[in-house]
Amino acid sequence: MEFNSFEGAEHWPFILKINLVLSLFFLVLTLAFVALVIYLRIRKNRMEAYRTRFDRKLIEFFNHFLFDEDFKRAAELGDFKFRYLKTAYDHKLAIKQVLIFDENLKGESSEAIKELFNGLGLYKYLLSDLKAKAWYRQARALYALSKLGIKVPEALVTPFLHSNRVELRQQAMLYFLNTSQENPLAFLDDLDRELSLWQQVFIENSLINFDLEVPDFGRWLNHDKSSVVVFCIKMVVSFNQFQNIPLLIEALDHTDEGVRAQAINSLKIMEVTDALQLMTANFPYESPSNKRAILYAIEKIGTAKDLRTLVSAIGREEENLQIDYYKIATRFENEIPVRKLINPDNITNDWADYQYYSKRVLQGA
Amino acid sequence: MVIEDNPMVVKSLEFKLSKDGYDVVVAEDGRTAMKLLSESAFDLILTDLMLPFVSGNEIIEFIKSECPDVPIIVLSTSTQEDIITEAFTMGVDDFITKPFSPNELSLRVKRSLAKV
Amino acid sequence: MNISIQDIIHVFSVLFLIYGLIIISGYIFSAFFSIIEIRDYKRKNNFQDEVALLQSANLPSISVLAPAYNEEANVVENIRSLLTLNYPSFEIVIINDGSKDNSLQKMIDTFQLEPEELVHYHYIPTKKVRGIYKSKIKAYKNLRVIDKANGGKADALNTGINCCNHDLICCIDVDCILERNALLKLIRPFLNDTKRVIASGGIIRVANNCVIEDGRILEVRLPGTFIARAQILEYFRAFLMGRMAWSRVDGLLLISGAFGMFDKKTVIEAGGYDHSTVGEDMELLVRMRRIMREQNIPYTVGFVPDPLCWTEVPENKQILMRQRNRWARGTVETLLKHKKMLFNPKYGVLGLLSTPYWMFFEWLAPVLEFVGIVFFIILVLLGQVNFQVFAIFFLVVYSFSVLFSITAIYFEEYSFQQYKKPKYMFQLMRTALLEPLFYHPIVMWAAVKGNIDLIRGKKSWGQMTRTGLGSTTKK
Repeated sequence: MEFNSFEGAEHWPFILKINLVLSLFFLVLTLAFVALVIYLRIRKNRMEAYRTRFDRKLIEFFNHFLFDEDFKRAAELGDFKFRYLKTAYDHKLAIKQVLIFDENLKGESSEAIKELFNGLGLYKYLLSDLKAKAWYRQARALYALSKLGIKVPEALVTPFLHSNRVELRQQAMLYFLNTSQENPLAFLDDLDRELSLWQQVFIENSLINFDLEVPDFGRWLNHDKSSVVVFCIKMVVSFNQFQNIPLLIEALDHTDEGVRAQAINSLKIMEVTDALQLMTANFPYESPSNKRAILYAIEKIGTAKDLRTLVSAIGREEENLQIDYYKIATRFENEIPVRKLINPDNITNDWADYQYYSKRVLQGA
Repeated sequence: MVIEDNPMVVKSLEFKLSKDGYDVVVAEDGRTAMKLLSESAFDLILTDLMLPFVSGNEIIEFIKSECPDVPIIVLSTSTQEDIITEAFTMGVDDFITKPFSPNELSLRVKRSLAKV
Repeated sequence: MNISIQDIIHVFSVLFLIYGLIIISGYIFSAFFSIIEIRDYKRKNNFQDEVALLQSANLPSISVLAPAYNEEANVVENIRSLLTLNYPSFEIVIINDGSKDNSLQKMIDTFQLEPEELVHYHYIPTKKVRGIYKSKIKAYKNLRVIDKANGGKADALNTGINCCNHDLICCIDVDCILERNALLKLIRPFLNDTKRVIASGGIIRVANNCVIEDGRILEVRLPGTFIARAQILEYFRAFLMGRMAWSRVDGLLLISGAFGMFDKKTVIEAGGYDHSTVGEDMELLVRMRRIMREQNIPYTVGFVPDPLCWTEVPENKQILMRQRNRWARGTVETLLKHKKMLFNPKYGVLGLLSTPYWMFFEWLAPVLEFVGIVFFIILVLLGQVNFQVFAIFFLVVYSFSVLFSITAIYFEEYSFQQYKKPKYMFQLMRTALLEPLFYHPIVMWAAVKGNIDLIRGKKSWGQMTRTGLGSTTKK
């Protein structure tokens, strides 16, 4: 390999050739990306301008349609559809506007908006989206349908409940929630995955805005997915379903830690003093965070005596529980001699003293 | 005058209220609104509470100091009780929550104007 | 003699090529995965407005932890803007890390703070807490200020963990600017997954020269100085290409100290921040992941690409070099501490992909580059360089760097397009052309210097960390 004698490129060593080719390749790619950036920028600006113009047209048309009594609705609808709704993008923008109108207006306008929706052929467009292959088009269609409360044949939506894409499962749930006439949570029955917190949030939100009767959550308190049980316990509280309190108390013995935690919290919020006995009985066997939750339940619905029965169950090494205990005890009665417990250096020793002391208080000494 | 940043709501209100025979002036954010308010007089002000640049409460305070007799109607997505009561204690005349019914709104505008 | 140098050159060229191939595959890897991730993210979020829904919902409470050391000048303003964050239930915990200036008094005066009872948990051992303060005024009821003996950023955050009330913690730099919906967006990964989510992080953006009012970004502008613009490119590359891709394969190793959310329980199980390293943010996440993996608990780490957190980057060469020096040491310290994970299939993606990547790209790249340059200089001195050969080698490296930056610009354009004016785009492209020549050598040298300092046993959390808390922000 002769490094110092290059005459022409054909004599160059292999490595140099590769490097040269690579450089050229990079250069071409760089230029391609620069072009792409410029193209994107121009396209985005164009689309943006188009969208602004089209949105204005849509809003104006919708306003005439909704508020102008002299407006020949049927004829103008057909005309607008024929003249302006051409591309998929046009349809998308129209649906977006319909959604915005629907979100902001109610009363007599809601019906008119539906008429508008059907008249512009947007229903057909959404159906074709629903049958499309791409998940994001399906999800978008489901979203629009459920927002507007428009029904499609159920067989089209049910499969999405078991889709592998979480977004589709979510939108399908929303769809059933918003369009069903009775028992909006029927889909929970055969749910085979855990509910995420986010799903719980939007289910609750839909239920709040629900016109029909809210279902009895007792039905799912034995569901085999613990997140469903947790969710239903929360809902029992949110919708004040006092008839389910016995089931909540049962849930204190549930095998799942999270379910027990939610049960403790909910019983605390509902101020079910009857549950305290079971809570204190379970206390020694609970996880650290549930022990803590029980302490705070006592703070809200229990007495100083309830609290004191737990002193012997808090071990010397459970420093952080001792701190919780201290915080709560001072709220019941200030003279409890636990003040010295706050010093982290000797908290555990002091705790032993305190255990001895409180045992004697309990015995009435 | 209408103070509102959602273009759809603005356009609808403008359209509907013009149909009802009012002259409508629009401000899409708090700053423009304040500028317009100090320049000319209005018969009624319809405002959102969530606005760019200036908070809803500041706007109400400003209107109350600038032209205390002009009725204010708040149009807001908020259904929280404390926000609604706070608005009323600050002296707004009416509170309409979104989604709203346009016919109802136009009746309420009419009523507020009649009161003055 | 001549022959042997020829041989060395030959070996060098081959090594160069191999190393180049590794780098190129890294590039292809991150470009590929991050474009998929960005596309998916856009698709997921293009039709629904979740912010409105989130606002109204019962969400887990968050404790925002912000350590402050000698921040007298801005601390009050920063707290004010933090208090206006858009989230249903959160507390702001400011940890005054033994400031030598007047910050504490200033906070007490402005927010009318009064001391609370000095009880807090002892999950993680820390320096002594001197006082816990709460405001008398209802409008500031979400604010708590902890006063403690100086112990560095890691220790301050640990104290915050001991003293805060909620199960999710969001660790931030007190001087960064958060979007109003930052918490709502950052919590999304925690809500979405049925697996345990141990942390989620976001993209850091450069705030220099942006129009800021009341702690909010009003207009995004490109910084006037070259050194800051070069850092914008760097951040694009690191976040839009790097972290995006790592998040796709669930191999994220670093959540910026400037803005990240963690599951408090897992942080405590892992033992909190380690104050013996300057890279405490990276080290914590690596340790958390390692522990989850070793205990075989299914878990995940989330990443949110929206622009949520803006920070001032150094425009001064000395400060920049100190920052990079620190980052380099942090990386090396973390990798050495967890060297067991390197190439270890037991740790899955982390062992086989993430840690080796960090070793090659973050640790060794600047060192090897430096060795290469030294080698080249020696060759020049020996008169052994053919400038034609040199030109070609240089060309390949240079064109690659430019390509890398331009791709990152493309990703920005494709995803969030924060720099609205076309002028900014062209300025950034020009910066991409100049950056490899004028900016890169500075940060490379700083990283090499960091390695040298580490070998020479410089105390890693001495004066350095403290300046770090004050004047520079970690990526």
